[in-house]
Amino acid sequence: MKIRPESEIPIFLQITQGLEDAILAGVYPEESQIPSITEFATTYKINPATALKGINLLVEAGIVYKKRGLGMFVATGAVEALRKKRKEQFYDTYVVAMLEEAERLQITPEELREMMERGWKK
Amino acid sequence: MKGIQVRNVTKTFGKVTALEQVSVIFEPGKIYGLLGRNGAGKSTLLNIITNRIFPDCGEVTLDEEAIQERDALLGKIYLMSEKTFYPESMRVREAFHWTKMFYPDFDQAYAERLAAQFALDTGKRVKALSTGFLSIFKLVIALSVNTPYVFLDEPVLGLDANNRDLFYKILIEKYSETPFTMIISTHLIDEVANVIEDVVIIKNGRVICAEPRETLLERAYTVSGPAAVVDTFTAGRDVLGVETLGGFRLAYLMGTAPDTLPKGLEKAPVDLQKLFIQLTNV
Amino acid sequence: MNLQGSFRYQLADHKKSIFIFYLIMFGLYLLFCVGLWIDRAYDQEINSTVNLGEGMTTLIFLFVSGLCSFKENFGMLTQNGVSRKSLLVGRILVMATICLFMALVDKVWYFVGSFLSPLFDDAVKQTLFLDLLYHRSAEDSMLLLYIKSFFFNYAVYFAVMSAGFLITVIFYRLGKLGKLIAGAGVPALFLIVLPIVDFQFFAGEISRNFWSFVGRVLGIHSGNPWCAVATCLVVSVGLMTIGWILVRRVSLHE
Repeated sequence: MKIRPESEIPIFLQITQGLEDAILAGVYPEESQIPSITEFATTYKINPATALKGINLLVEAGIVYKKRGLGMFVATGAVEALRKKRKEQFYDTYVVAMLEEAERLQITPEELREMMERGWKK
Repeated sequence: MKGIQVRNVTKTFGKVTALEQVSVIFEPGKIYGLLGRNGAGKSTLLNIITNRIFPDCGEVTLDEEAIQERDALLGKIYLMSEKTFYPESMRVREAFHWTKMFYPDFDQAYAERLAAQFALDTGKRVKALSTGFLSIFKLVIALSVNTPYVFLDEPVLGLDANNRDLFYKILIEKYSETPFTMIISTHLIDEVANVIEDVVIIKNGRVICAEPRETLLERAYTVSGPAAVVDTFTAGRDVLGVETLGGFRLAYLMGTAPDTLPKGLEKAPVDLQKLFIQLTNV
Repeated sequence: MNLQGSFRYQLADHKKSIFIFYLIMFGLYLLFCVGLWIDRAYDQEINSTVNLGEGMTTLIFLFVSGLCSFKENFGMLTQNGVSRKSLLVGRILVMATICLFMALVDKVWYFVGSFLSPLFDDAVKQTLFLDLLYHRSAEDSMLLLYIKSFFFNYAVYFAVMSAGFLITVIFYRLGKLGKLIAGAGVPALFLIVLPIVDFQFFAGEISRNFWSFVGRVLGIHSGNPWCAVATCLVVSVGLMTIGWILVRRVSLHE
């Protein structure tokens, strides 16, 4: 997981997304502990409030939960929930952007389909 | 109202006005970035708050009580300044000892540990320290003093990249454990941009901006594209500055960007350092 | 008030120099004793009185200590959140303590010296600071002499140290030009201009009156050191009042 300060995405969202990616990739399996706010803040040299804000988004979404005095853990069913959410976002974030770029480059739907076939095969 | 409140402070040095009608609030438990160009008045402001110099008019309060000449209140603030006021012949270890005397919450064992982490020789005298180690020496005290208000004026002066990294790490660690108010005055804005919560920008002795970093950055944006299109778009808007490269132009603007832009234009957020440069250019 | 910190820090600043001062003084004293004692083996007439560790040497030492007691302390104490008021009150207490200590050491030294001297055939005789200005009255008991001499030393030391402190504060507050005027102008005024004016136009009346005034307030004419004690106290209070006015609004120099 990497934080890019120069990115257009606010830092707290980068934390959220980075953690989501890590959970989806199995870095933090369900019911395992994720790093603390302090660890996030010190590792990425960011204000703890920013890290808290990013992680709270996952707490609100039920992806991670707090155990008093112990830390934060990945919820059971988190992977499934994330996958569902990401699929919903997939069209907006990737498909729309891809089509816009395709239009700029005057790529025809046929060419695009062909490219995707090629990508699947790899 | 809790925190440090600066009200209508003006300070002149001879014919030079260092601060003019400055009013600003520093709340408990927040990290502030005090930004300004050379000679803008940052150090003067910090020196006035800590009773090192007197304002011509205006006042400074801590939790609604005037700070001036009050030991009990001054003992809640530690200012690490660019200039060193520890006697030259004093050893680092002795400075730790005396700091404990003046600031009872100073953690001597922690200071010794930090010194070891930074490879600062506590047996050395202040005058024998290089610029970098002099900064480290003062930083170690500032990070161990445990006062509710810690001001750092140019904290990383002369520190190499490794030590700067270590410093930011320790600072955030410390702050995460027990939040305290920190004012960091620095020219290396990129390095602290994500550490600070609120930004205070001083320009020619006046506070031109004091707000959360996020809201400030939300208020600014850039548009770029063909020069003519950019110019049409920026006409009548609050333009901070433009950069031109051939027929390509990039404009820095304050305000909220419209959702849809004219064809050919692209908008992007601004980072703190770039925004600072635009805001404080002449 | 962070008085305790202010007091302990400023006192510690003097400890080393006082120790070194006495080391040197005592060394010189022994040197004199031994040296004159050996000399005496050749010439029975040799006789000498010493005034070490009491009187002028101590005065100069304290004056210089006073001169060195502001700039660095002000920086260090301000860095550590101590107000100017605590600095000044701490300074007064430190001066009172040091002068007390040194006035006591004077008496102990004199007492011990009066036993040491015979060991060296009385080649070296000690004198009291008091003896420089006043004649010993025959009816005074030894105890009274000790008491008089103690208070006299104490009061003079304190006044002199206060003067040193005040001068350094004045210099700290002055700008470059002011420092030059005060540094060169004031001595020139008192040592050159005033004497010339005095002798040219007033036939030395001014200096005569001045010295007679000094003699009177110090009780030299009446042989009464208690006058000097009182005068020194008044002078010290005056110097410290001016000191407070100057320190109250002083800015820490960058």
